[in-house]
Amino acid sequence: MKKKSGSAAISVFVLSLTLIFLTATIFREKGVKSFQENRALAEMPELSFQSLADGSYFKELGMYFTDHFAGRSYWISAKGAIEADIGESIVNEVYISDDMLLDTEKNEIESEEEIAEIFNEFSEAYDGTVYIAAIPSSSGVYSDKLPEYLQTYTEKEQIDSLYSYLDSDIRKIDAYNILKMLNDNYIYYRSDSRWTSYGAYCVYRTVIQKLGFIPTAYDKYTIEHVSGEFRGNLYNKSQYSKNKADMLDIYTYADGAQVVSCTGYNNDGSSFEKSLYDRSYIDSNDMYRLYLGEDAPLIKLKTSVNNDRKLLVIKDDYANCFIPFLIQHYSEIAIVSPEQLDEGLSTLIDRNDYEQTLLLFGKNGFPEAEKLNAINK
Amino acid sequence: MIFSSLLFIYAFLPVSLIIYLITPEKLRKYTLLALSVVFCAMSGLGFLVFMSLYTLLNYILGRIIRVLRKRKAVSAAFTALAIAFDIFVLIYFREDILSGFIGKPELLSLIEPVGISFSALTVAGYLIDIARGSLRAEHSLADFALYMMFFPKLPMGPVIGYSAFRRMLDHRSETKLSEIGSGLALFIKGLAKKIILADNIYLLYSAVKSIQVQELSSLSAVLGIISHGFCLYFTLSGLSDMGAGLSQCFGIHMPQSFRYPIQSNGIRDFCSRWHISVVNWFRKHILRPVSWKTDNRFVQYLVFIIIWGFIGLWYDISVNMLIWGLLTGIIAVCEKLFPIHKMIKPTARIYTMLVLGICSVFFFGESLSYSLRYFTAIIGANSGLADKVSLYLLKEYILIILACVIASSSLYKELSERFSYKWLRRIRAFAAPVILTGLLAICTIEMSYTGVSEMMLPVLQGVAK
Repeated sequence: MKKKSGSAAISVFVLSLTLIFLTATIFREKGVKSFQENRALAEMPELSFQSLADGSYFKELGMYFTDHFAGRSYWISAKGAIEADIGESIVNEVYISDDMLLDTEKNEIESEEEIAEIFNEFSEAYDGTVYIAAIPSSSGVYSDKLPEYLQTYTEKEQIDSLYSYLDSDIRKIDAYNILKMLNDNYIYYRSDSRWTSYGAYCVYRTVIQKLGFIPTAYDKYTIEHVSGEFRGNLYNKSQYSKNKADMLDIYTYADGAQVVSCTGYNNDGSSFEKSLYDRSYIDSNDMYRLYLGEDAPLIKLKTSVNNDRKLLVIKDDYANCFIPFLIQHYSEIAIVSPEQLDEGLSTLIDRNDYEQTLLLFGKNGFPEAEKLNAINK
Repeated sequence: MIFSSLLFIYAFLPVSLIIYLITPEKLRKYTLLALSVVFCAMSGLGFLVFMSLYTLLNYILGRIIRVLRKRKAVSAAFTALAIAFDIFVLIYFREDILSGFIGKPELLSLIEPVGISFSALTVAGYLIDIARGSLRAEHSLADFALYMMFFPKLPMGPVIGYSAFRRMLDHRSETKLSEIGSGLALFIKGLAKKIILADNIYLLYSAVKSIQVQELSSLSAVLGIISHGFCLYFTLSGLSDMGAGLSQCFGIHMPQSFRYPIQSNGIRDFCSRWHISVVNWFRKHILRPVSWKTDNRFVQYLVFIIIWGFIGLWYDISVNMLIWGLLTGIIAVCEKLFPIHKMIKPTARIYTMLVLGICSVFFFGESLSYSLRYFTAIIGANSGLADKVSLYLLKEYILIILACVIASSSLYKELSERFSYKWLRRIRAFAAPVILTGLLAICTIEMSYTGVSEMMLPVLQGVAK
């Protein structure tokens, strides 16, 4: 008798649990973005004969159901907590080391050769000098914190291979070794794969010398801790929050040159006001956007420097906290995000107005070859 | 759609159970058919059309064979042709070999053939039984369609004969909450096997596989074998438990697919504990007819070895799988010739584990040369006995391995039988719902990020289709 009533209880428990979550999922208010994960949530798929026929409709419905599942954020945080303790400390491809999170996802980036070809083509058609700095991610610099078997094709090798395909007249900057040497310092975020402002400053010192200037000394800067509550892209992915939150800093040089104007341009050529820092993001879930704010295809900075030197920066978001260090040296800086370009670069600016070009990308930040090729058009 | 997904567990399952419960007893069979049709449609209308045509065609073939049965030769030839056709369909949709040769129209590539490996065996067995006269061809298309498409057994079997299925269908146990409860309990156990054990141990397996075989130390190689074995077992048995649990919710008691293979005493014993319904299919339809025809021991042994070769190929058409199957068969026959029953239990178990481990190197190796180099790794000739990586992996995964050992043995079952005091049983009855709900919650947590647990060993990807 007892066994039977026990079994009956199981069916009541399980059926009511599933039904509660089903109704809760159906009737809960559906957002479009996840705050915690900092990404767009799946949309209700559209019914079409094609999607029904090949089964993709129900696959997408499954994703929609998952993304809007009742209590999703709690389930995911619990996943982070459990998986960090069971087995290897890897949650959703994020490795949890003693003090920081490291990405273990194999990045299926475009082949180094293909990227190099695009840069070579750019350099050939360009009158000035091209400089490149490929920045490793935190898993590259701190690869020794990762289990050994995950370090097969290291970011150093990938960067070296990219550099080896580049023409010799492109000046290459070895950011990897600079950062590697300084890895006792706070040069990478604990919960983000990107470098900190300090990491950017360390590389800036070398870059700016190559570009022909004397770097601004560290002690001339006043450092403002804007937030001590930053949790970055690796937190978004793993929802692991037991380690210390990160700090976002702004470096200002009060006696130095200042930004006179900062204008963003859309693909259609229309412009809008921007600033070097957008503090409205501090209270958002996407704090990293503090640097340079919303992405734009082209941003033009005019500074109070009177030397008529002009620099073109082609970059991904690694560069966002790097740009502020450059304003001491150039009277004009144009910043291009190939990721955002719809048409060719030449529709927005003439690159030969700028005597120097800096290609500044995170090792994992290179856009798809097709997108990147926009800089040659 | 796969059972281990949020959409299935939190939407399809409760809704289909409720629909089943509210339909009157007489119509329930048709409810099951309708639910199965919906289940197929959720894998794509293309698959539903495919499955319907496949069912209809084999229904007709069955009827024709039944009519022809008096004329032995004609019937035999026709049956052989029909089965050849079914095998062709299986290989064409599952593997790339044939479609590479004769091409695949775009329309057909829309179809993702769920459970085709099991359906092919099922339907071939059905046709053979009719040809042999031990079964009458089913007249009711609806009943036959339910046999083919019954959703709890569609993706992962078990393969059961038609008469057995009809018996189970016609004598369904009374629909009671307690019956549904034990079904759900089995389902959740299977889910936990798949998600908590198989998926976690898979990480160890893929870690070992990501190391170049030339740099593999002995300990890592052994960890690779252990993790592969558990991952394979818990994936297959987890998925079949889920299917069996679902069937039980509808009052249909499916046979067990695995009987604690980790506790086999020798490879012969293993052969009767591993993927029972599949192995039995080959025994029933190939081995038994031969043993009726001839008393020659050695012919029988040879056929036994050959059917194990087929079983290997059924998992995946590759040289390695053929070797795995043949090797298993040969060792089992050797045991028959040189009896090992004098071995005491612990020795027999250790011996079995060693042999299974060696065989499995062929199971998971993607090529013969990989497997051979893996053997040199095991003896420490590639990268020594142990290195930093292997010690790290051992440390991180030892708890999961222990959990796998315990969960794959009958320890819990035996303990609860030995200590079957009344008070303990009462506590267990109270605790069971709480524990199972907890397990379901853990599985939900594990699935929460992607919503499905689709991980599948490369070898099983064909079977799981």
